Amino acid sequence: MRIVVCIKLVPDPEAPVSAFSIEEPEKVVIEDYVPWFFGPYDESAIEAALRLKEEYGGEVILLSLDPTDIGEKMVEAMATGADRSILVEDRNYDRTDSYGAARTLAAAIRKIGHVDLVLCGRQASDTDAGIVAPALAGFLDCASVAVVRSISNTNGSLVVEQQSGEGTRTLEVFLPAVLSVTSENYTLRYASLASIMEAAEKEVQVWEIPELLSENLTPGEKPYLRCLSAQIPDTGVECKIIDGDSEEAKVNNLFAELQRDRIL
Amino acid sequence: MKIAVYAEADKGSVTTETKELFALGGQLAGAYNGELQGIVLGSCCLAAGEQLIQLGAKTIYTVEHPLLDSFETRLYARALIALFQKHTTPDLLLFSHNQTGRDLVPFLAVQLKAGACLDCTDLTFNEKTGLFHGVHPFYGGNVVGLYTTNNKPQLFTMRKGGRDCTYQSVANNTEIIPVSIELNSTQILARVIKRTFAPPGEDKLEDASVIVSGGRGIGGTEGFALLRELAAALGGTVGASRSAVDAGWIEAERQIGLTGKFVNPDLYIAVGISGATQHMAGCSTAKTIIAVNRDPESPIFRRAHYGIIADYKNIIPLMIKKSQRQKC
Repeated sequence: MRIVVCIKLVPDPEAPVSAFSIEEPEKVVIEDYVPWFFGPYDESAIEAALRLKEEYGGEVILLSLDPTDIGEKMVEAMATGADRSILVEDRNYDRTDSYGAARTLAAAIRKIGHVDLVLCGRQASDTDAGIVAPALAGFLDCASVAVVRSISNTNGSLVVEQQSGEGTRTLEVFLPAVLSVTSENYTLRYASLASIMEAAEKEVQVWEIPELLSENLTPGEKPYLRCLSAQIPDTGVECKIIDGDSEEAKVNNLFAELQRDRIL
Repeated sequence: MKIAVYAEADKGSVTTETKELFALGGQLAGAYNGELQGIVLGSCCLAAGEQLIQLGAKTIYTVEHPLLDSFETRLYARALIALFQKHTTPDLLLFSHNQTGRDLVPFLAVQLKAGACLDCTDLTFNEKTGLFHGVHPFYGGNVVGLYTTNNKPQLFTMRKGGRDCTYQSVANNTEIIPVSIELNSTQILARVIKRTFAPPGEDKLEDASVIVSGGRGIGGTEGFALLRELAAALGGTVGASRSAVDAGWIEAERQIGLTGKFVNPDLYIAVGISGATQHMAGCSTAKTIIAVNRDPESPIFRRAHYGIIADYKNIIPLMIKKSQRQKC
């Protein structure tokens, strides 16, 4: 099975709200001290791919857009067990443009050829959009299942468990397919130092955009989503820290406060 | 202006989420001289159609086909595209932000060459541009953005929001229009083998008025047993952060946050939870938030109303005793 995992470098999802500011009207500025990673759901997608390869054989290819500063992170990701990686260089790359990303990824996947399965994280930690995976399937016109908790190959068919309402849908999916992965069963393994050094020796292919996009859609024909304005909501709350000489005293004081404030 | 709602039914009854969409759509249609429509796909169409009239829809399109009994992304997208080829494309099409919304909407958007914004908490209309705008939190909820899309229909999935659905004015001359389309089984790319539901018995998080929630600081499944005891003593239920779920300490259905459930309890006790924005996004409407965490620098102490800086393993048993004594 040839599996492509689409991954995106995003600012640390644990970054505090103080790291964000808005440049009118809609540009979000992030402080320089915030490190950038592949988001937690993207990591789950890589882990899911690696497990499928271990169990059923095949090839895992990491695919990403915007190679700026991505080199080191890509090597670390490769070191977990992927076979190769491809970076698509686009001077106009806009990481807030989910549909644009999906179009480019679709073109890259067609160029790779004979791809059986595409895995993505369920949503990127910057846009929180959840658009790329199903949109990518829309461009490829193939099977699409979003928010999948587990993937297996049972009797030659791909079987997935999808998070749905108050439970799970188990589906047989016909390849080729695009799945978006959620994190609860897939935590990305650590890469050993030896494998990181080995991965650093592997070549990363860099592709350029113009040769990829075969369709020439006029601006009006492209699907798009545009952010018109952004703000940082004020969520600060005045917290009463409950003190006490002992832990028992703290709890007693807490209950006294709650009763006094008519909460209990 | 045509405002359409993608309606869903569960065992023949229109879902609460769909009712909320009609309340929203009806409000927009009323304010901007629009016509409210409903779209139903699948076999239980007819019964749902009648209910949608009560929710204020003027026109209801029912697309009935045996293959639509089970949701499959591309098939449903095909069905909607066929519907829009036979009847006017609406200006706005609203979906619930649920499994169907997440699966179908971006796929459909691409095939319609229209954009879509998912997980919106509100929707407004700009009379100058004639475009609808969706409010969508991102960066884990740290930032809130106003988004718009191109082309018709403008597609949005709406987060379940406790919207008031009580009053709807029933339109005059309502029409239920059955739409027949061609679909064949070779078009199906995925099929449902099994559906399982989370075990009943534990209270639904979204309805709970007291929630005791655990995060990475809990350290294991045993800790959650303690939280369940406290929840029981307070007449509430247990929730969790994504870290705790990913660690395997509690079922995914208990997850609260941007990619989990949105809760609105009177009392939310956050135990061993750091207070990361994507978690707080799921519980920030709680009336009172109490934090128990042994890290005084934890961001939770900027989001909670009351805080105790201590090891939860010592605090929670004391809280259980206190709560049980209160009950008597």
